[in-house]
Amino acid sequence: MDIMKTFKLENEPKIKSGFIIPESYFDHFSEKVMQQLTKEEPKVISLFLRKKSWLFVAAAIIGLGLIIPIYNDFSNHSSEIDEIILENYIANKSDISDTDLANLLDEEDIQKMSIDLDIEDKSIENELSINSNLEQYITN
Amino acid sequence: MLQEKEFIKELLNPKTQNQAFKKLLKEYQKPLYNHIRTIVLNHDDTDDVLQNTFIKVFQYLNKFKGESKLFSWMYRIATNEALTFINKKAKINGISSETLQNKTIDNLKADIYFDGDEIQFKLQKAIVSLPEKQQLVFKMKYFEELKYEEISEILGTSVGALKASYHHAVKKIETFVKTN
Repeated sequence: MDIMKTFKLENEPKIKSGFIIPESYFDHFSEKVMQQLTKEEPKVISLFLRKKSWLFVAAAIIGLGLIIPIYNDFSNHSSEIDEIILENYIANKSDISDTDLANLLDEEDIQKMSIDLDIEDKSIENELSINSNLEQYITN
Repeated sequence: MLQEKEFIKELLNPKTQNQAFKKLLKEYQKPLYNHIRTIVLNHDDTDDVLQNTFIKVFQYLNKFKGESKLFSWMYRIATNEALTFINKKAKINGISSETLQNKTIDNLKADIYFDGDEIQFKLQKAIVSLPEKQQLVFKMKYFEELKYEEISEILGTSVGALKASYHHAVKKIETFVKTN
């Protein structure tokens, strides 16, 4: 107990850890590690699998190459009808009457088609003074 | 140094790798065992950690850049493996690593691979009461008798800081032994 009270590490004979290593432990240790290393060899990816994944990529690209133009074609045709085709269609379809066409037009369409006939009075006077024959048309 | 460079080349060359690694195992298995044992304390855990250490060394050989010595690089891996092992074990048991270390020390008396007397047991108890870094420095200096320069390379701490750390550790251990 007295030794404990004056305990100084440097004054003591070297204290060992007290740990014991089981006998012949190191005889087989390196073998054990080497065996584990061969077990844990990195996985080899087979060439076939690699090729397979490239095939998937190639197939996807080809597929897209085919789908995109078809889609574009389809979307162009579906949204707009070629004007010439439409005109030809109307011209050749003799059973469509003027009334049928007029029925298809609304107020706004008619407004757009009407010709501006806003002629000034001076222009009319000028026209009348040059062409005297017109007088009878007006009076009649 | 030249010899070490040649040896590293052998370790990296697939043709000479196996033989070189066996040489590495023979040379370092005992010092690394002792290093790990002082941290994890019982033999079975040391065995696990030592195997993992050599497997890691083998796996990371390609990444060893030769900036430090092979010796200190391997000690660093062993230290990390041992500390990680303790933390994992503590987590699994739902306790702190300090509590786990104290429990392991208490079990030492029943451990067939520990034949320490009262003072050896008390010294082990005193060591686990220290902060982690001081524990490491003390064990490496006192039990493993490594030079400060070597410990500095392993732990990445300056020699001056290591000396201070060791000095504090010795004082605390002496106080612990006197009062417990």
